Amino acid sequence: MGGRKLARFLAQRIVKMVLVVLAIIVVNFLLIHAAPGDPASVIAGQSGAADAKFIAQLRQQFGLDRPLYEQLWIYVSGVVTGDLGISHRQQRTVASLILERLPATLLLTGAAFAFAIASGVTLGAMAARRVGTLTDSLITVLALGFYATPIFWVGLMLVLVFSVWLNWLPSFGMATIGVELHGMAALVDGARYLILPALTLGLFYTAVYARLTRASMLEVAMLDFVKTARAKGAPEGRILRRHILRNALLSVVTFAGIQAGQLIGGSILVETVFAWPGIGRLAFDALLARDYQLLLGVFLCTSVLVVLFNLVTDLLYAWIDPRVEAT
Amino acid sequence: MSLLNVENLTIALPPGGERPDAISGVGFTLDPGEILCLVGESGSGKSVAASAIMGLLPPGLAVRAGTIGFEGRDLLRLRPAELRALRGSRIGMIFQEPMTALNPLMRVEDQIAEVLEVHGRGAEARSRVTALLAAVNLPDPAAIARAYPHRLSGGQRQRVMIAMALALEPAIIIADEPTTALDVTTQMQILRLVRDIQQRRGTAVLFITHDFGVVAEIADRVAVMQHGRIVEEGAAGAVLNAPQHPYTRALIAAVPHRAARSRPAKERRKLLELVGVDKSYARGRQHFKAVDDAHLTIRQGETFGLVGESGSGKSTLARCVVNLVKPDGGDIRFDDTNLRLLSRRSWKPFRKRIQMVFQDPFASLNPRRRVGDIIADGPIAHGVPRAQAHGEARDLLRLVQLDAGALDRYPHEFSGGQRQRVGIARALAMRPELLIADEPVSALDVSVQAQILALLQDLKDRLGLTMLFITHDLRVAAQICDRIAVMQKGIIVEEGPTAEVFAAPRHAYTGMLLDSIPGRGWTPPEMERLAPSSPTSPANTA
Amino acid sequence: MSAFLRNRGAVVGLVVLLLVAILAATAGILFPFSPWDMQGAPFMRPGEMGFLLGSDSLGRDVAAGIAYGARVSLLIGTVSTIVALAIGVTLGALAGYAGGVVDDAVMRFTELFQTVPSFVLAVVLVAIFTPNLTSIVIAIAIVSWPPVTRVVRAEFLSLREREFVQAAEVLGRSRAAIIFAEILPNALSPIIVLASLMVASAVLLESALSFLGLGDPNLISWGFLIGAGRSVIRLAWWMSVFPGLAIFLTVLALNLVGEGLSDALNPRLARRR
Repeated sequence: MGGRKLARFLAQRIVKMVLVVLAIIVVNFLLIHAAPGDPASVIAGQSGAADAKFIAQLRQQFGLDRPLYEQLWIYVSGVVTGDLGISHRQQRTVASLILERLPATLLLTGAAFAFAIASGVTLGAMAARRVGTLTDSLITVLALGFYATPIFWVGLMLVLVFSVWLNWLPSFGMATIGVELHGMAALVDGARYLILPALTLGLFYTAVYARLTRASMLEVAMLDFVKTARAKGAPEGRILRRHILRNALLSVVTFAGIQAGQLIGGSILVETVFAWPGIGRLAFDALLARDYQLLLGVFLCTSVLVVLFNLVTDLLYAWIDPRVEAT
Repeated sequence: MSLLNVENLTIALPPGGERPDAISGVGFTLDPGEILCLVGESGSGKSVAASAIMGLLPPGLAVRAGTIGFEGRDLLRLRPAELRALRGSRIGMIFQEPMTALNPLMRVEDQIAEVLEVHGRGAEARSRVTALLAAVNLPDPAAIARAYPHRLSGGQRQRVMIAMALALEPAIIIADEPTTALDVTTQMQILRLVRDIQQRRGTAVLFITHDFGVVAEIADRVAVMQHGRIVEEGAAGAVLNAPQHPYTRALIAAVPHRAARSRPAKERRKLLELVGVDKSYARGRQHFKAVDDAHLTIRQGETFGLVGESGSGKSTLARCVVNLVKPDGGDIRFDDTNLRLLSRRSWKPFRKRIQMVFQDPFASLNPRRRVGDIIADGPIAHGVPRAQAHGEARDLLRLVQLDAGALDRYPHEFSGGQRQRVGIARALAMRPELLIADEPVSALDVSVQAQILALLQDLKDRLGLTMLFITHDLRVAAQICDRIAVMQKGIIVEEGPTAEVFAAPRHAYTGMLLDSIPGRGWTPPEMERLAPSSPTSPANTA
Repeated sequence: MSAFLRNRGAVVGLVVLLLVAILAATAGILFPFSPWDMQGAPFMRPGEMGFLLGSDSLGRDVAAGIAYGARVSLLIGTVSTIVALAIGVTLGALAGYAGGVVDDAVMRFTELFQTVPSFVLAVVLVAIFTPNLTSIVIAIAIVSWPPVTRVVRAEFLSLREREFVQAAEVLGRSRAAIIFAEILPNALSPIIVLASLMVASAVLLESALSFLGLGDPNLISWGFLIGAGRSVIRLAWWMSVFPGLAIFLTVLALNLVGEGLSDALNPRLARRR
């Protein structure tokens, strides 16, 4: 796509993105108000730890005595300027809590995603190339298996095997506590802690991408232009790489965008199992403490992440597929 | 000394197919620099024979016997690597569907260059690609080279395919129905290009087709296939003008004659009158006019043909008449009522008077309903009691020469021609005055085509119908239409009695359409058609 | 039907599902006591003291928990899928048939729901509306309907242009007749396949929610059992392993059945597998 068209495409997408985020903020607002009971006590939590003063403060902050649309405006303008409320339990702003924990989650989901795509596409391509053979059946069965297993259970099983029984890898946390490590040692240490959680989150999606790649490649292999390539005398390897795989990857890219949301959602489970200090764990703690401000803050944050990721995949797709015209 | 020598080729179908072998005992030769046409209807095995030469058979089809001699070697006994070395360099192939035959993610120049690279001559790619594109008469070769396939039209893509096939100057080009999916004017351009290539470069061409007009246009020799066997073979002139085998004779008899009928002009009342009908569609930012200021008049009792290529707007216009598409402007007067202004409810009584027969026999019947229900649907929707409607359905089936047992069967149990008969029965169940036939025979084999056209003609005469007949095939229009209108890009460019329009076209486009009829110079010999032994025997109604 | 039965995987899946259903139905007979009641000493290994699959930290029978938990998983899985289908099919049919502005509105709405991470939304919904059977079912339904709408809309859009539907219009049939007698029966196959896959993901979703402690406190479910076993995994691995296996087998069976249905209803694609 030409430079100017790309710019226009980008601008359109960003506008759409902003609208979506605004809509999500409104949804957040509606959720608070749709819950049974006084929104202030919902936000303060029913744990009984909220004192009357805090509730009164909340009432004023949200303007609960004002008409609904005014409340909405207060809320939206607050969020847009970075004010996501205060976590009563932890006595800090939600925004600061989230920012602190976000990098850990990004690291985890990034690693899981990279692993899933790399292994999934490779396995799927292998299965498609050797369709009908033992290799194919093996990969298909494995993929089916991991697709059917709950993520948190995989995590627990991995802990059981590698941490409890074999004692090779640590079972919780992000780094060894009590030691100051630098440089390479710190990296290796961090990696040891990252392996099991990333594997847990990633294996499910490895299965997803493997199945998708295999199905996509089998479908593309039946298309006419593959026959044309054969008629030109091209060897099978070249046909697989230049013609089949490239076209099959289009659906993988599309799908990856859709899966992004689920990946981030899955991090709640993985971070809980491995006590990984990310926003997923934060959400779990918020759940336990009935700290709804924090919970909704995490919800908003994850939604924004998904929207951003979708933007990236859209751009990627537009770059790869020349048929996408930014009209 | 033949260039290609196919002997006794037998290829098996997977078990459960309609016959044990896709082709059996097929043998033919191709001499240097000649064009051999392999003709047959769908299922005749012609594509299988062609694919076998290049070793491109679909999975599931196995060669059981035979040899394919080329340049001193038997192609069937070569190792895969040796066969691959021949593909694209000594034998080139082009396929039927240009819209899907090119990789959408690669530029045209890269795809042409690929042929050269794969055979070790990639260094020449840059210099040769543009020259090749110019050789196939593509305008602005440099721009087309840089383009992606989706920017090219069907005809342009087919030329790119031909350029790819020619790149390494092969001895033979196998063309598997390369023009079937193209407009008639584009088809003529491609046919002329093929003949040009044969004459200038001495390339031999094995051309697969189902259209005898194409055969008449370019073939030096012809081989006719039926049910996997070659039934007749010989020089084009001999086979076309003095066919020997009954099947060949039947096929040639089924080719619609170009002889336009001249009917005495009858002053009947106007049944349908279109005045200034417009229809536009929005595509992104642009608007394009599918129908632009259309005027036409159809009188009661006549068969009016609407002729045009794809994108001409003829189908859109037909759909405007039956309210499937809402026109933007103009009047559609049916017997003094303006149909365009009617609401959905007011339209209902007119549904009984105007009916439609559709193009695709496989998509025009609901696969989950029985034939009897399909035909009875219309009358039941208008208040006819169920039992009566089903009784009438029985009569209608007889009218379209299907037996009454069809009532309880599902569409997938019937052939294309039989389904089209059901579609006609469904339309006639409403006892319409005006029957709109939207390309009713375009998706059928040529022998079946003739039967359905005869049926339509017969029904029209018997029931006193008026027919609006849409088609892209001028030969068909010549055979059954009294008057025709020619459409181009939404505009009706010419209109008049068929014989006059054919003899003396006034508009340049009409002239071009007439020139593009393949095999213009050939008049099919008059032969009595094979008479079916009984009207309803399944062997004879297709 | 016969095509489905020819697929061995699908048959295995169906058998497993039937076994799980029977287990759920006969839980009361096999374990004639409440799964919450203490049945013996805590942390008994599988096979000890009459505990087939061991006992948990409070001496409760793990096997009983799994049997009663089957009821919850199957119940929530199917009911939430039915609700999601009801919403999704209605919206999808509306968008696909009506087209134009209605279609745009429905699609924007659907896209919004698809952008939000579904699990997080489910967690938020259940948390805010307090965990009970109803809120869980509704939460799962709310995050599951968008794919249904997409599929149904796509089917309706393509079927609407099919010639037999156009023929029905030209014959003068009513809109209702066209939607229900012509379009819908032909749109059913992908919906059926989707439904079985949705039950699978609903079961996974429910187990994840109860693992986090968001299950109905009165109902014992597989996810809850795993969650309860998490902190004592070094002591009592059987508390986490067996309920997880139950989930795995059920979801696997549902997926196999779904694929079998897909192959049976789409023979052209199936030949390649």
